[in-house]
Amino acid sequence: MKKKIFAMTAALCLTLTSFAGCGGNGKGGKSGGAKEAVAGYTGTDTVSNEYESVTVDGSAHEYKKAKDITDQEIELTYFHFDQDETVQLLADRFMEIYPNIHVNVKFEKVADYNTTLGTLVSNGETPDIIMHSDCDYALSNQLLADISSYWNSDEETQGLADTVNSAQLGTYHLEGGQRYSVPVKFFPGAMFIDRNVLKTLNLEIPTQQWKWSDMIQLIKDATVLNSPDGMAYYGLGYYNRLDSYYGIAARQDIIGEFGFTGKTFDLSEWAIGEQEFSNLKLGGYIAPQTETQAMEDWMGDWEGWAGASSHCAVFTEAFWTFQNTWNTPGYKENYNMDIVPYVIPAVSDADAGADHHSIATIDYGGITTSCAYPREAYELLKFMSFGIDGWHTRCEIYGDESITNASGTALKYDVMPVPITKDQGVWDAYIDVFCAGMDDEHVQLWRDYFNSCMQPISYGWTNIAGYWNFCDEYFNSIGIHDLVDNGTAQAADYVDEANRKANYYHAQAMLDYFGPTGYNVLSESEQSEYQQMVTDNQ
Amino acid sequence: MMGTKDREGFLKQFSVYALLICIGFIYLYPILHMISSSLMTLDDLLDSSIKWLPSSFNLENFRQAAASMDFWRALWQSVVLAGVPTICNLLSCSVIGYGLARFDFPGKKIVMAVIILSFVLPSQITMIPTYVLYSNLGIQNTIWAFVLPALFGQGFNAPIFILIFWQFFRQIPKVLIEASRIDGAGYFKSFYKVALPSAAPAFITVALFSFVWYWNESYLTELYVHGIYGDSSWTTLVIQLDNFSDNYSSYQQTATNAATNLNESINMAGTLLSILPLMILYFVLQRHFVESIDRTGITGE
Amino acid sequence: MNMAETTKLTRKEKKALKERMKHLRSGKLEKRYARMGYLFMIPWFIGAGVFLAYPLISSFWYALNNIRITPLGRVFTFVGQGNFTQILIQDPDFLVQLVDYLTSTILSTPIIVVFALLIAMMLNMRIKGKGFFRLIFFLPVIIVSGPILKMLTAEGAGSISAIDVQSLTAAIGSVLPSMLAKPISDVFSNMITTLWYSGVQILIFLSGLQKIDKSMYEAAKIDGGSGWECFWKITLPNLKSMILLNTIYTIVFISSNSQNPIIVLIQNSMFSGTKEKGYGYASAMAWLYSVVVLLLVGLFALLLTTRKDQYEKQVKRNKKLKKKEARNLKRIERRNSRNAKRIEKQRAKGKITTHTTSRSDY
Repeated sequence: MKKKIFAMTAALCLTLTSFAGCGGNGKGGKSGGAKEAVAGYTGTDTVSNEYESVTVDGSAHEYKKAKDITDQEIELTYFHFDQDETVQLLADRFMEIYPNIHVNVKFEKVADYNTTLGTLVSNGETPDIIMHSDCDYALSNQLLADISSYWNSDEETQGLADTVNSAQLGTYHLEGGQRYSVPVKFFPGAMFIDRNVLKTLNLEIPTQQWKWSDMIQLIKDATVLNSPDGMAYYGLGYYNRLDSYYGIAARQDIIGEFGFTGKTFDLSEWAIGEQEFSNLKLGGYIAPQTETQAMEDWMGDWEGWAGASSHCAVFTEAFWTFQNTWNTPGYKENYNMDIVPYVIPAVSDADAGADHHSIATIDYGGITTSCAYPREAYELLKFMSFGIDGWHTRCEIYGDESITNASGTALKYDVMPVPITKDQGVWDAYIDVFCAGMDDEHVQLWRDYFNSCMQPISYGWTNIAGYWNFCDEYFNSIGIHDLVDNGTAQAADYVDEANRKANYYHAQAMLDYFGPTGYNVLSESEQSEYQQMVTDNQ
Repeated sequence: MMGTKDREGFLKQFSVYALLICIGFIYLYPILHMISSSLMTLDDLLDSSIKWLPSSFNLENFRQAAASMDFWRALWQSVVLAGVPTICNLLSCSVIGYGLARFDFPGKKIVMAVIILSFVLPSQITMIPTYVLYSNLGIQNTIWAFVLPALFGQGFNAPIFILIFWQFFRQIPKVLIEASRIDGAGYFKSFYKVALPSAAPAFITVALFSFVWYWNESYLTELYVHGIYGDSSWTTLVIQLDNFSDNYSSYQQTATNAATNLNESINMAGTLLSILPLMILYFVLQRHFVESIDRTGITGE
Repeated sequence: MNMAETTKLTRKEKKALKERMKHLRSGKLEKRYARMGYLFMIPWFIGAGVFLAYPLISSFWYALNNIRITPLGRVFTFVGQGNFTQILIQDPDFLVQLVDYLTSTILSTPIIVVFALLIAMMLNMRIKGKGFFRLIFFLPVIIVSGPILKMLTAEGAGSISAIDVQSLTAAIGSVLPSMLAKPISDVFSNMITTLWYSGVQILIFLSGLQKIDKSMYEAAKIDGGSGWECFWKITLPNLKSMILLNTIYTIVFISSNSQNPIIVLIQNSMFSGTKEKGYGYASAMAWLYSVVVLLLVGLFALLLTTRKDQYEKQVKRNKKLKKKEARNLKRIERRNSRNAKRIEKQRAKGKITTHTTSRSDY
């Protein structure tokens, strides 16, 4: 009897398991495989650049409707971690222009994004368009499709910030120039300066042509520990570390963090910046961090924030902190601050006088390899990211402060990105929205800033294969930042070892992602080159 | 003699109260903090001199939060999505727990190990196969994705419920059950006539935990029932609450302290609204918790 | 050795013996009990077959593979135990984190359980404002799994800002060896989190306390028993199974908490672009980890259940005796039949010998 019951349960388990297992493969291509297009669909594999003018109700903008888009009824899924309300409205507008395309928008928090994406993909429900912050997950699982043919034939892609093409943002430094990602959200790097603090301390207000050394001097000059009003002034309130800024500002041939020049890393410039930042910290020029005893002593509030102290001169806050926080009515009324933006200064005189690279936060997006309608998906992706029509729509949305997010904040104050296109029409509309309510002097300051910040270089993990592996396995697991910050180690001592490690992880990742077991797009010379790098740096 | 005993009693009483009040405050603190900031206006939040008492009694945040949470619909669906699986959990886990506690059968130890293993194995690992399974069974994006597993002892945290019942049924003296068997009751009759009533505290405990855990689960609810592409009409208060968490705060490069978070008041109001029904439920249940035992009058030996 | 008497049994005797053995081997009642046990377990067996087996088996299968989940299908490369050896030999973090996890769990589990017991007993006392206190002390049950905990951890409320943790750590460090000092000071700095984690346990203890007959305490008091004695002789024995339950719960809760560094490690390797990592590697890590947690649960369960009650002991002893008797009887029967056969054989050959033949020729 016992045995019978056992055998029965075992059999039950087995049948059910195998049934479940089979189901995965049996159900109409649900578990993997490219999705099938509707019957009779013929997509083009280039952009013809032929458009017709379309207007929609409630908008003065004349939209350019692409003629080489299918007129069949199709559906596209857009899976994102952008601002949900904005994306929803953009999708609605896109559907008005292309009534035959249904756009299914789904938002997921950044924190859960990869988990959910992996689950969807493994169940064969891969979205047509995805976003990514770090590129490794998307590339190692071949989530992103090669969209070079669309990108290269599209005239609009030539009108973007120069570095998108010149510094290969989204092409992963392949010799063949294959493009897998496009910049979706762009937040330029900025140094924010509280002019009121400078005025109080009788310090000279810098120009957009300032140099790195000017900034360091300003930070030092603005640190006054026993000030007349009894509360110390600090030169720098940081959120982003200065070493990331310095590593890009140092030289114009650097197109990625840690001195990346397209094939290899050289951390020597980074080390100078890291050491300088550490010296500032140890020298007492940097405002206390929140939730520390030092903060309690300084602002009388454990949870205080230097950005609300009115006693801090320079900030490395994220770009959106300006609209989200400093530019809100509450902050403007309550704190006597005059925050203005400056481009991250270049290190050399020559670079400082001209447009130069500066680090920026860029989130990317791409079309998945299983997408059945890549031409249409490209049009949608463009509309959501860098496209001129999309940006005109965005400006309308941001300009209307009656449209709010779930907690009642106007969308302008909820992480509004910056256009990465250089189109004058878009920029005029954007400045109108961005600088609403400012006096002419401030509008001019912002115009100057925006003019000089259009040479973005994105953070390493978004754009360099294997960068995150390097950080995970070496840089962060040693805790180099902490060791240098508290003075127990010198940044320069790590340079040689870190170079080897960084090159190793990058070359390994390039082989994994783009070599024969991955996308298989490496030329033979590239393959042997990366192979050599792996063996040299093992 | 009496005097010293009294003093001892007083000291003991005093320390008990002191401890309870101190620890109670720690538990109460975040709730108080939430209530106070949910009532604050933006100006109050920014004014560093105002810590606890808002300058005026501002209920606007609650109205706003309720409106964007679609409160009444989400409330009703939350109750269903937490309540139905809870009933299923009670049914299945009590039967399974009784089976484990009362009877010896070959393979029992293996069953116990599998039960605990299924509890311990990180859910991140089993999530993908589970999702694929639900999708193949056709129960994904329906309430069945919660109900069916719960009906067969595989709901969220079901292992802990099985263990709770197991321990409670083990405590019932064998004599009681044997006595009922001698009286001619069958195994099932003795289960629901004798064992079930004496496990009333277990039922209330499990009901409370199960309801609360289903109620508070947002990610798995979204994945299995709400649907990734939002294709089912199911939603819960906690899922709706997620709309408030500004997506920029999850960016790696933002200071996320209270000073920069201008939506804090509405966030807090929303959070309070999402747990308010639980607090009420629990307030009601915890009374029953005491009474049910007095009523059944069955006690340990 | 005294075979002479036992080898010769009449048929009747044999039959009686068999009957007796049948009874001894397994009682009818016992058999029926097992059957009833399976009957009650049917829901679980079905559930495990449908909802548990597939995820469990797949995740184990994942652990034996290197996996890429691409939109065009899942790419599996079988690596056998490769993932496991990789984790144990080459991953620097896993073992370090595992040791940290083990020390901190072994330390904080008893703290949480004892704390919960204390609170539950206080809440079960005759105090004023009982209802009010209960209301507060069960708050963690509602809160600990929900959105508020996220907020709490985000705001850093898990540690006490009022107590100077640094000097406390230094003080502990000066007294204890560093291997112990770190986990202990960790426990202190996470005191509030620890408190938060004990809500469920308090509730379970309280529901256990409710079941203890009040008259037992009254009787004990009349006999002059002190509160202390009552605790050890009445409360604790009655709560024994609740202590086990709460210990298991505490360990599992600590282990499966999403803030647990090992869980974070597993999650990170899931999304890592490194060739060796990915879902397969993460699954292997999760299995290794789960087995360790299971062993830990087993260890605590063993520690807490070693002292069985008198009744159970007696039952066990009886069972053992029965088994021994059954074995003996079996042996005797075997020997009998063997001897009988031999006698038959010899008889056939015409060599009738006595039964006292020495066994040396075997």
